[in-house]
Order: sequence, then structure tokens, then C-alpha cells
Amino acid sequence: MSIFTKLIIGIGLFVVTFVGGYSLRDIAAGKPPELKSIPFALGLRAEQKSTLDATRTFAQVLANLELKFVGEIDRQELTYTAIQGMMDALKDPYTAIMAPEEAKIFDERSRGKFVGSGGIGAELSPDPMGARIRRVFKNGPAALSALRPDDVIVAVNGKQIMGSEIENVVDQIRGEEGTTVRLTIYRDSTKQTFDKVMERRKVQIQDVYSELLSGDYVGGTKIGRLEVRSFSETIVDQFDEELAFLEKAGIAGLIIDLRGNPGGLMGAAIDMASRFVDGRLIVSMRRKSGHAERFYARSGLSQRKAYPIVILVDESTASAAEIFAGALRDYRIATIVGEHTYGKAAVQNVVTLIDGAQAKITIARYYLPNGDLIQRIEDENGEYALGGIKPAVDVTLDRGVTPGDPVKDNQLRRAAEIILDKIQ
Amino acid sequence: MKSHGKWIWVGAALAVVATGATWGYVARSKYDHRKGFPLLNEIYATNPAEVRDDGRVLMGGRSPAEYFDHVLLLLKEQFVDPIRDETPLAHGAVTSMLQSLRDPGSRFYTAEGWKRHLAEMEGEYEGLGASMVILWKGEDADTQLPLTIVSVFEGGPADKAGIKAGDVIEEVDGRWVASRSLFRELAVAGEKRRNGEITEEEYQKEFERLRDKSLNAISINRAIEILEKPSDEPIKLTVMRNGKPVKTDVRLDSGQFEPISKEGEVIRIRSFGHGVDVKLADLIGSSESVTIDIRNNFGGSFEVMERCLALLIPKGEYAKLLTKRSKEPAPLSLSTGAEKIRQITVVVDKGTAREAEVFAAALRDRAKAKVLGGETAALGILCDRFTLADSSGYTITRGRFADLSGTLLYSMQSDSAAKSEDAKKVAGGASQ
Repeated sequence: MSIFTKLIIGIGLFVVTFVGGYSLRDIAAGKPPELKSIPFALGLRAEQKSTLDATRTFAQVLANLELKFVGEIDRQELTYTAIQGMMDALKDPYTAIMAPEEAKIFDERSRGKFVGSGGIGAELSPDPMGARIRRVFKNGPAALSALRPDDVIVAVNGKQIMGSEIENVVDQIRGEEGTTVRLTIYRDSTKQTFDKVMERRKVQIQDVYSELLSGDYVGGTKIGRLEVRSFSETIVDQFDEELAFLEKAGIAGLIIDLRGNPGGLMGAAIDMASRFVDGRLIVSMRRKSGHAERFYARSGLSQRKAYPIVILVDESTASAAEIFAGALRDYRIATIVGEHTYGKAAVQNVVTLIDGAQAKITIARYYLPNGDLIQRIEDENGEYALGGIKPAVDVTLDRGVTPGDPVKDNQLRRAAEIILDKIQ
Repeated sequence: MKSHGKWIWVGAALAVVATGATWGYVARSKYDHRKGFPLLNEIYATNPAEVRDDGRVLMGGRSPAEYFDHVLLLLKEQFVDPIRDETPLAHGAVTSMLQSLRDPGSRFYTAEGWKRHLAEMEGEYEGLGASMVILWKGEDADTQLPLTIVSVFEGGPADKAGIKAGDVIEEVDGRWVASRSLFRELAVAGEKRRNGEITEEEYQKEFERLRDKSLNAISINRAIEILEKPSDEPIKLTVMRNGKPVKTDVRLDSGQFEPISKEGEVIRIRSFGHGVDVKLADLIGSSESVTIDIRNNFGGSFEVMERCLALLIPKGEYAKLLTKRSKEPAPLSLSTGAEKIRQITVVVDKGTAREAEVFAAALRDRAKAKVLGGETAALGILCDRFTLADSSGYTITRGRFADLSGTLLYSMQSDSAAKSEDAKKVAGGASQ
């Protein structure tokens, strides 16, 4: 080897190890090395920095607050608040942090410990004034206290609930079997506000309801309505049972009512879609890396239906319910009627942090069989702009009407008319 | 001999490796320092892990910055959309930190907003032409966050539209600014119905009205965003004044006012902007009596305000400042002051706020100034300003002003009816 070659090798070695040393700390911290800053470090270029480092900025503001702010501050609280603010900036409503206490309650609730086994036997929906009763289960405490659908719960045990998330309201109402809860009810029809004390009892939740439409508009035709409330583990069995009941009654058309269905288990949606679609793609999930996971319907479970199917949706139809509706739309099995759906196409991962707090992070988005991303997009005022499944037939529910009302529900009426058109 | 030579080369290579790696490492550290930031692990150490009195170790023994950084890393690895720029994340973090303090003087501004904020005290504005704050009242369910007009800039859109200091913004472009729970209003209506003061029909109407209101709302932050920018079309604004709604149309634009000017015998100080003290010295000249009008003066630079004071009052303590460190308000003093004390009259109003309030109090207490015009805003706070690397910025309330007797010039309440006794206004006792 000539001295020249050795020199070249030497210089090469130096450069490589310099870069190695330079990046060492970044790599140890699990970050990509900041190679673009090397020329700056060597004094070759003065870098104009007009971006912020999130952690440094956070630490700086926190230090300034500790030093200067006139009031008391709680560092831990501020850290969680800052993390939530950082997550808000990602413009994804499902990416969030739960402080340890909050995460603990959430966990216990999922495992059924916290809420206990008792409820009032009613189904609630959000309402600007509190929580609106959608349905009262037979023989449940709410039914025995003569509560009715459309009653609005405005306070629980004297505590006002306006503005609370519906999940929190449910948490407050539920509790151990045998204990009591006091609800303040506003009844629209009589304009009365009154209190009811009831004992919490074990409640059987039913997710699928079936009925034969009874409105005048169906004439003598038998049209079945299957209302699917959410996609729980047992949904497919319930669905099979109720559908068998309707088919036995000899329906000429079927309305699958997904209004107000917030979703649930994706697997349940796929299983239910397998009753209509054989072995085909139902949904694909794409991560940041571009890696896509595809989920297919099961084979051999589907049956070609001889009757037309309409799926009713509204803005509260979300997630797994959108997957189900989207698959049946894309394979031309059902006509979608109603209002645009919510547009939840996000899949979350929950990471438990060192102190028991939980970070919920959206790690993937799902796409319908035809490739549609239904991700909801909101305008600057936080209102719906785009996304969700667009119905083939747009019908807005009349003001003050409860979905499922045999006479007044104009979406249901329109769905029935579409079926009647098709079978003629 | 030959193998000996080989070892020399191996040694040389090792030396090159060691030097290269060391230099690289050092260069990286220098880079961090040159950016004006300490190293990450130094940052981690700025706020050490916290152990509470009951022995509970918070955040798993991590320092806040380390904990925060860990979550940031998780987001960068896992979040479905690539995160290329951390700047919006930093903005989001600071915004919610400062907002969680529930303090009217602590707020984050984007680069654009920060420029506007700094220009405001020099007499340039955009949007409504008024200084606004979010005031916090009450706790939890009944919390109210009225977006309140502190001061109105002379000749600006708000001024032209008849908006007054103390007005609370209720609706922007027909949309309710979500600032409180509506339950209380419903409860009041329910009570009236029970007492037979209103009919069922009227109650039903009220119920519907409140429901529509809550369905057609925008956030306070969004309202501020709209009101701080020029608009092509006039926007409809509803403000609450003394508990009654007042509707007006405002064309948001941009404009200017003079921070200080002389009109007849009256010196008008609209803000304590740069150079106001120099101009004030000119305008006072050798006159024996001075009238200073600081109505709708929303403050500005604390240093400029002090230099203005030094032209009018003797040196020494002029007011007090309550900070985190001091249990009792600490004295605010001037090291130089006026040799001779003139006859001073100062005119204030509800729009006299922040530095202007302590200015009036000091003139009253140290120069026997006559204070005319009634109550001031009771927003006597001193804010520190911090500019970030991307030209955005934020303010933190460092202290609350009190007058010489120790009476705070600050109260959290906005409507005067609800004001507490300990938050007496500067002019309260001295107005005529």
C-alpha cells in the first residue's frame, strides 16, 4: 500500500468515526442523527432555526412558570396538560393521555369492577341539556319508575351533568347492585322537572332488536327492521337469531338500522359482514410505514338474500358500524339511506407509561374495500366538513323525532319506500 | 520489521478512530449549545423528579421534561401521520399549559399573534381594535370564562361600533361563544315556571333557545382568532353589558393610534409604548399643572410606565407588587424621581388596566393627584413576555399590583356588581 492509499483510508476512517461520535447521543436517545447539522458544527454554515423543539420549549416554559408565575402550579398536572396540548396539535381527537388516576378508573371500568353490576335499565344518548333516554328496558328500574324515552336526565344525585361526556354520565348512574341513585328528569311533553330515586339492578343489554314495520306506509308488505346498537362480542349470535326470526315471518325487505351505533369490535363487524359477503376484503388498515393489513370476510357463511336491503345511518354511526355499512355498500348488497356517518377511521394503540398513565395513540387508519378513507375532517369551527359514508339517498331526520318511531320517523319511512320501489 | 510497521499503522488507525469519535461527540454537544439550548439531559435536570410530602414519587421518578420527551418519542414512532416538524406540537403544549393556569395574563401567541401583541402597545392593531382577556370565574361545572373587553382603542372598529370596556363577548357572527354552562339559566327558567312567573310555553321557548345556543357555539379560542384578524365583511357581534345583550356590526380591520398625544391642555396616554416617556417629558415641559387622560389605557411596557412616573412623582416607593415569592406585597420603588411636584389630575375609566392602574394609583398616593372618572378595570397585573425561537411568544403573570396601602388593584371578577371588597379600584376612593 502506498502512503497515499493509507492517507485516504485514514481520512475515511476519521470521517466515519467523526459521524459516529457525532450521532452517538442521538442514537442512544433513540432518535435519527441530526446529520444536517454537521456542517454547522464544523462552522461551515450558520443555521437559521425557525422551528421549535417540543421538549426544550416545554422545559423552558415550565421553568419560567416555576420561577415567575404569581400563582401556585402543579408540575405533574402541567406535564399531563402539556402532553395533551401537544397531542391536540396532531388534530386527531383519539390521540390522548390519561393521568394515572384516570387510567386506573378507565381500566377498572373496562373490567367491570368500578361501575359495579347495577344500572337503571335504560339506554342514553347525548343531549345538549344532559343525557336523553333513548330506550327503557322492560322491567328495569327506569321502566318501573315510569321513565320514558325522550326524558332528559339533567342531574345525577343532584349533580348537574350538562356538558359531560355520555360515558361519564353512565358511570355516575351505574353502581353496585342494590344501591340507589337519584335522577333529576326533565320531561319535554309535560315541561316538568322532577326527581326519581331508583334502585340499581342487574341489566341485560340487548344489542340487536327486530321488528316488522307497522307504519301505514308499508301497506301490507312485510318489511323487517333490525336495529344494531353496537358491535359487541355477542353481536353475531344475536344478529343471526333476530334475522332468522324476521325471515321466518317472511319479510320482503330488510332495513338494518345503524343509526346511533358508535361501533365496537372490528372483528364483530367483519363477522357480521361475513353473513352477506363471501371471503372478500372488508377493510384494510394502513400504518405510517405504509404497511397495510387486510381483513377478509370469512368464507362459507354468507347467503345471497332474495330481498332488498337498506342500511340506515346517521352522524352517530361510527367506526365498526361504518366498516360494516361500507362493505355492504361497496359490494352492492345494500343501499345506504339517511345522513352522512361520523367518519371514524382511526385505530388506536394504548401505551401504559412508567407511572401508570396511559397514552392512546392513533397508529393506523382503515380503508373501505373500494379504497375510500372515511376520515372525518372538521372545519375551523370544529364542525363536520367532510368524511364518513355518504348515503345514496340523503334524508335528514325531522326535528324532535325519535329514530324508530313507527309513524314520525321519516328516515325509516323513506327506507321502506325504497324497498317497496325495488320489489315492484 | 515489517510486522512492526504494520502495528504502527494499526495504532495510527486506532488513534484516528478515537480522535474522530471524540471530536464528533464534542461537535454535537457544541451544536446543541450553539443553538442556545442546553443538552437534553441538562434539560431533564432543570426540573427534577418530584416526591410529594406523603412520599409519593410522581411521574415514575422522571423529571417532567424527560417524561414529556418520552411521550413525544412515542408519538414520533407510532402516530399514523409522520411528524416532521415539532413546532405545532410545542405550540400546542404551551397553549394548554398556560390556559390551564386559569389566569388572564398568561397566554401563548403564534408568531403572527405575537407580532401583533408587541405592536399593540406601539399603537398598531388588527381586528377588533380592543384588548381582550379571558376572565375565569367559579369552579368546575359552573365555571364561566367570559371573553371580556379590557380596553377599547380610540378610533378603532370596536370604538366606532360603540363597544365599551367591560363588555363581554357573547356571540360572534351569530354563534355563541361557549363560555359557561347553560344549566344555570335553565334552572332559573324552571324556577320561574314553578313560581308561575312564566308560562309553560315561555319555558318551552327558553328551553329551545338554550338548546339551539349550545348547538350553535364556537370555542373561545376560535372567537379570539376571528376577532384578532381583519375581516372583509362586517361581522355581527353581541356583547353583554350590565347583563343585557347589545348587538352591533363591526368591520374588523387594521389601524393605528398614537400612544401619546396632547389635546388642548390634556395629555392623552393610550398605551405605555416605546418612547412614550420621552414624549411625555416634552409635553409636560415646565407647566405647573398637568392633566393626564389614561382612559382605555391597557398598559404596555412596565419600564416605560416607571420612567413616566419618574417625571411626575418623587423617588422612592410608589406601589407594591404581590409575587409568588412574597407573602406580603413587595415595594415597587423609583431610584430617581421628579424634583418638584406639579398639580396633577388623572382621568381614568373602566378601560384603564394593568400598568395604567398602578400609574394612576402612584400619582394619587405620591403626588396627591386628583383622580377623576370612577372605577378602573381591576386588572392590575404585571406580565413577563417571552419570545420563542420561531418568533412566537407567551406571557406569564409575574405579579399583581397593589397601591401603597397594600390594596390589590386586581380582582378575578369582571362585572362590577360582583366585585369583592378587597379589590377596591384605584379611583374608588378618590373620584369626585
